[in-house]
Amino acid sequence: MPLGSSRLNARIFRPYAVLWIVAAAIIGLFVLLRVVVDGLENRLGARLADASQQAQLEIDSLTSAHAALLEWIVLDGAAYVREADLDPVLAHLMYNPTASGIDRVVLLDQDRQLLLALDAMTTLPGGRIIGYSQLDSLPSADLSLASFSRETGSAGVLSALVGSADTQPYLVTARALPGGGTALTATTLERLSTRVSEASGVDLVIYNGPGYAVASTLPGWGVEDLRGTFTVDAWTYFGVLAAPARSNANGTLPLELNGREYRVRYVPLVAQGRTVGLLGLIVPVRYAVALALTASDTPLFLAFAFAASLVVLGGVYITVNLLRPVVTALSEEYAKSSAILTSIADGVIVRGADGSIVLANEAAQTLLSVGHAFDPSPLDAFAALCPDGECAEIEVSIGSRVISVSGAPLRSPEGGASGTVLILRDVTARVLTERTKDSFLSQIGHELRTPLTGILGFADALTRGGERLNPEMRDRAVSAIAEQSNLLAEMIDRIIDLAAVESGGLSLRLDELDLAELAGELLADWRGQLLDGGLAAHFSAEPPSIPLRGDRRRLRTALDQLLNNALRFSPDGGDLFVSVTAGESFATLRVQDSGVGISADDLPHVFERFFRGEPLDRQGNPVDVRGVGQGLYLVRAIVQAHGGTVSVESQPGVGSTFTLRLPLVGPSAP
Amino acid sequence: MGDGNLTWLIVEDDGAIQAVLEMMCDLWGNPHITLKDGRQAMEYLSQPELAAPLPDIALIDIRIPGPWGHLVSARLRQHPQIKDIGVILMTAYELEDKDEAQYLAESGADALIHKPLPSMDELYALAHQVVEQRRGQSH
Repeated sequence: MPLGSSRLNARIFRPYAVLWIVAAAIIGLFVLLRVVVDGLENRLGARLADASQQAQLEIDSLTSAHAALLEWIVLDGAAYVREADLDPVLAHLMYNPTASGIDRVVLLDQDRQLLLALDAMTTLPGGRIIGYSQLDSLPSADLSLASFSRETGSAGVLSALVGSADTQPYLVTARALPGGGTALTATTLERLSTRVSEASGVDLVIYNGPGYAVASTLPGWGVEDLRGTFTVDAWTYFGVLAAPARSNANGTLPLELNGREYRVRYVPLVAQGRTVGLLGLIVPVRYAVALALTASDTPLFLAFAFAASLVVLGGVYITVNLLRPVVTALSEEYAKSSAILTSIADGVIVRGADGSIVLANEAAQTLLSVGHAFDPSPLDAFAALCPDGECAEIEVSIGSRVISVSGAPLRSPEGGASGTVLILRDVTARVLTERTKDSFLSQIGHELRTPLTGILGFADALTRGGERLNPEMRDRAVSAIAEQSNLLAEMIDRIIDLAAVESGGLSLRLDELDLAELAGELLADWRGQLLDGGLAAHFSAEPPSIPLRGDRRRLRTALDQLLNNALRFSPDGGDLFVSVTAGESFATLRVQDSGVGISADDLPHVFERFFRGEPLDRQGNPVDVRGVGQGLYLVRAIVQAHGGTVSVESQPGVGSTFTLRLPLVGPSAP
Repeated sequence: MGDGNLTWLIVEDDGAIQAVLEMMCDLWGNPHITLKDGRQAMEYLSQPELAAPLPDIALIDIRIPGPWGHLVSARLRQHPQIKDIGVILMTAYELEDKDEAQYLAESGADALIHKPLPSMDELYALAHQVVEQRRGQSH
């Protein structure tokens, strides 16, 4: 079946389908984004958790270096420090491999007077100091280092973050010297944060208390920026220090800087077992991810999902609308051509070059079906007669039917023959009619020639009879000529009547007549012929006179025909009953013979033009059916023109009864 | 049987044509035997000993009730007494040449004429011609 555009519309363009798509798209996007967002958050959280471990390890490594250097100073250098003979101390520092990452070493006496201050120490990756500068006095900003030394116990090691973003901030470790005084090692937070950042793979920011940050590795963030931007409130600061696991489920918090989205994980900064500050580990979030992450907070998310759905649906809608005219046009074109192919009364068949059936419309399938099976083999006869496929109206017989086949070669776009298009038409009726008409004309010719033969023969006899022609013979010839001429005239009338019936109807010449009288007279005329044929005629009329309005000549013709048939189809003779009766408004004329009868198959067709039955006599031999099957056709036409009806009952081998019902008042006015 | 005297066997179902042929025979002074259909003709031919006069020429309509004229003719050709007489078939139908030839072959008739019949004189002449041809063949 062709796919109609309406069905396409129903399938594709139903409004509720759009609603379902919208709903499904929103839910789908919601779930998808939820999964993606959770996944991203988890990955960010995991990365920061890993980074925090790396960071602590790096800090531990640095503070270990501090401790190791202080240990050496206390154990090996204490005596020199006490005696303020610092050259050996310097020499040791120059060659000791444990000073990696230490920027400054300060030695104070018990009065916190500066003994030695080494700054800007340069170390090899292994820790050996290869350069330094010696300060005569500590910069005022670094006095905090001195004050820090007071907190140091006599034996303990203590770390702290000293200084602020304005000054140089340090991670400082201090140890009391035997006999008084303090040794301090310090690493700038710049170095510390760089090392920790490199080790952990993330950027970081360092706080030494609630408020501004003191260091950050984020590129482009100088001291000034730190002050304005990186702040941490006391709640967060002490909260993290009290319970490092706090923050959200992933241990991360959102952070927005300069319009960009970050995730930050706060961890305590622990040095020498003591929490000295807060470390913020930071990862940036990519733009699209940031959008998704931002949007994952409903109702923002819903807005985002809706917008995304609109974009997707908009795309679908535009695509569908761009395609719809094309699809509609194509499907309409297809529907149109298949409707044409289907409704066309002629069969259309496309055969491939190999003879296979590529296409056959319904009419073709019906024409080529024997029973219910489609059988295209009769087309082979066409192909045999017409090898190049271009032939017109070749008649092919299929069973009792005749199909006219016309063909044209089918050219491929390249011009080669790719098959044949065949047009099939059932011409059975036409062929039969032609045959019947031929037979009809031949029969008419025969019938007309018969009386003509008599007329010409008798005329010839009268002309050339000579002396043997006596008056008795002359009378016989003249009356025979008159009789045959009348017969000829009747035949011609009948042919004209048939032509009139064919071209729209008989025009009757109406008269007041007595049907009983007319039937009686006619039967009397026939009595001799009937007797010759072995038929005993019985006539009855009740009442004896039945006046009605009718066409005398036509009614005689009709009754003539019935009597003629009775005679022809009673080859063994028998009884013939002709009765005329009258009811209130109809007269009934009945002709009943005891002839061969009419088979049940033939019975419905006897009044059709050109129909000739194939009756058998009582011995089973075919009865010679003369005529061309128009007698009863004319009878029916005459009776119908009178406003009457004709019917037949028959039983093969028993006989037939024809019944004419005629209105007494004649035909009703047209 | 003299020069002009032939005995005619007429097989024709139409009363008027029968009558005209009989009248022609009467005018020629020729005797005639008339049979009205195939059944009567076959009955006549089935007699082993035909009553006199025996026909010299048969004029047989093809399209007659009962066995058709060409079959009657074929039967006639088997009758010992009259198998060599002249036979003329008649028809009112238009026949194609091949059908005509087939009728002649099957029937053994000497000629086939179409209705309306030729004039009296022509028919007379044809009958004599056929009879003489037959006699020429049989002697």
